Amino acid sequence: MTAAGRHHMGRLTVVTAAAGRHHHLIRLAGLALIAAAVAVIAVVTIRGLIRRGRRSRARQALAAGADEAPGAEAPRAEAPPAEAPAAEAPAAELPATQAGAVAVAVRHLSKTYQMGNVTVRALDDVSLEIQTGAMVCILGRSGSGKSTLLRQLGLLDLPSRGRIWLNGEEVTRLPESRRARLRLRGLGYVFQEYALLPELTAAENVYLPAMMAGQAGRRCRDRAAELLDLVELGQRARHRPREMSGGEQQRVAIARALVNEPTIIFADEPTANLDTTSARTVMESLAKLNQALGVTVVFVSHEPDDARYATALVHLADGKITAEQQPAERVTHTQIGAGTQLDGGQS
Amino acid sequence: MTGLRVSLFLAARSVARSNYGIAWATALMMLLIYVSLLFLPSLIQGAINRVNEQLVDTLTSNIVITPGSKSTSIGDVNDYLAAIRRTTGVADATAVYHVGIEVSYGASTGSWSVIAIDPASYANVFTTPRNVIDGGPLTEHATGQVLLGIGIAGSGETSVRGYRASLQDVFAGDRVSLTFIGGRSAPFTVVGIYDNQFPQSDNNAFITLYEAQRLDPAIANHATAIYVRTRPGADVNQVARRLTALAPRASGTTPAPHGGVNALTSTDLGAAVQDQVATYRLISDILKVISLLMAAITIFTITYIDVVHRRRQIGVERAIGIRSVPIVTSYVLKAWAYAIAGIAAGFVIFRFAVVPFVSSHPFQFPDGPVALAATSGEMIRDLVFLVVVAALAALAPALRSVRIPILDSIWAP
Repeated sequence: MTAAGRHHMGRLTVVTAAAGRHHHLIRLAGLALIAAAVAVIAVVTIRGLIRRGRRSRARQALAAGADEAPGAEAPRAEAPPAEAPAAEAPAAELPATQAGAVAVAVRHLSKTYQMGNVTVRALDDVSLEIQTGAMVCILGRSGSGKSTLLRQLGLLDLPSRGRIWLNGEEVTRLPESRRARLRLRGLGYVFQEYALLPELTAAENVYLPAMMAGQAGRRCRDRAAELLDLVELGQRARHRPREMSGGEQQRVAIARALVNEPTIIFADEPTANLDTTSARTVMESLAKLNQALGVTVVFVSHEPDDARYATALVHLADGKITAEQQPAERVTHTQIGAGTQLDGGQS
Repeated sequence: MTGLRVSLFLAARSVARSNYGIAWATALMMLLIYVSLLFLPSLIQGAINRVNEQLVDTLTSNIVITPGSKSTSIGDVNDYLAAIRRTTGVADATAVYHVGIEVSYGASTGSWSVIAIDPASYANVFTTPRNVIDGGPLTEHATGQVLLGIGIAGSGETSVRGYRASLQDVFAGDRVSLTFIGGRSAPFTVVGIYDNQFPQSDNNAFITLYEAQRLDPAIANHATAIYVRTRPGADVNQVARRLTALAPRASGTTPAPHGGVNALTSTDLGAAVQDQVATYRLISDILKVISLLMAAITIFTITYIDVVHRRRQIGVERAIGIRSVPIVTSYVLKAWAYAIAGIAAGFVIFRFAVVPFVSSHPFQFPDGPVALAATSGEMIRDLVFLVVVAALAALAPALRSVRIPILDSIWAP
């Protein structure tokens, strides 16, 4: 190239090695900056999660021991199993001959929580059998362990020791996926505080478990309509929980518990937050299901009136069963006024 | 499949019945992030395109052929040019001869290249003759006339880069003096002043080859450089190799004994602007990463707050037997819904409002007006990036929410 030519192109052809290095360094610095930012965000996030976890465990520890009144209490820390759990429990096999007749069987069930250095025993060596088709009321004072027992039976919590059978199948230490399947298809659970999903209508709340169980859309909707009719809320199908009274919400929760045709329903103080009329309606709904459909119902209550609907009473105190008895009087099928309409509810 | 159905159901109900203010704010945030993800990189790409276009249109063309290392000029240029023009992939070519090194006006003098050109072919290769802002371009047989770049003339335009180093007040019709290689000077009339808006090419003075050959007959049929414009879609490197091979045969014995010719592409010659381009690209990449981080943090925060707010609801869902996967998926789908709503709106606004507006009102960069340059491919790629980032950002808090024991979730405040 001539001198003139080089002059013409001079600015284009001259790129010094220093300039190249300069840009390489800038690029490296930029990438390092980005990597540092990502790392800082990741570290902050992880530390935040760890701190939350610690706080949560601390809260659980502080709240340990306050067993009942679950709506108000905080979760508890489970004590490390002092004894070997299920596998080393005393031999207490459910007799095969009884398996068909026994809906719920419990052997030597214990549940302990750690509160600081103190171990609180919420359930202490509880053994129990509930016959298929029974309607059992678990009674006891606040802190007696009745809700803790129901949560173990409803597969919402793991016992510290002992074994549980539902419909003859041992469920004590099933993996969470299997427990979820049983909760979906085999059991119905009614919470004290209704526990409906606020963004779903009554019908949607009812058919959500059916949808999860794989039922077709139309079948789900039809089933939800049937069950809402059963609990006398057919006209409220499109209403959302906030548009319903406590009693209505609880009846929707009962309908939801029934949607996958469970053989056992657990109800944790289903009338605790309700007025007398609503409480009676809810208990009558449960009794209808039990008497007309043969669903085993296990419910917790501290209301003596509720015990009238039960076929058997279990008294708990300090985590132990103190008595099992028949109720002095029982509200009958006729008294409830359950009509033949119930037959259509279960297929 | 059942799980996906439940996820869709939960996500759809949640989006439809949750707080619209939060939904709108999230979508708006994603819209802004998507537009920012596109805007600055598109602007930078526009600047890069502008630099590359200017480089080719006003300075290097697609291929520059210069004499070999042992030669000062290319001989037999007329035959070589004819051969070049017949070569597949070549649109046109023009030969130039660098004849001068100095331009003077009154007491002001500066060193600039004075280049002899064939105005007709030069106009086919470069856009410079079309960028005359004062006077007119050179004509084929013009004598005593010079076309000056704005970087030399100044023309009173104080905003021109390098104005202080220019002759500052030269206009079309003024008389300037050109000093040729060898020291001879001659007066010329400024026929026109061009402004390529590209400082690298605004510092040249052009006279006609006809005039240069009249002043120095020895340069006839010789060139110090040949500029070649290729046809769109032509493989420039392949054409350059063909032209190099043509040189000895086309120019007879002249180039071969002197080492042949060098054919370089605009990419080879654009090293200086490549530096600029590399910087632009680095900035663009950093901005994209920052935008994606912003998107991730936004979605993470919104999902985190959402799952904390709904911890009890999640506990209830698990308690009634809904498996963890559909619950987590519902939050990812929800994040996607917000992200896609924002991105779709951002796509429409960017494509049909921002780009046309900036095209009609381009940004003024040092290298000239710059519009946004975003291809559909890039827009879709960024969209996919954003959707993936949204999913990943939503996944972390959603996964954590289903690892909390059910009872802890249900009893959450």
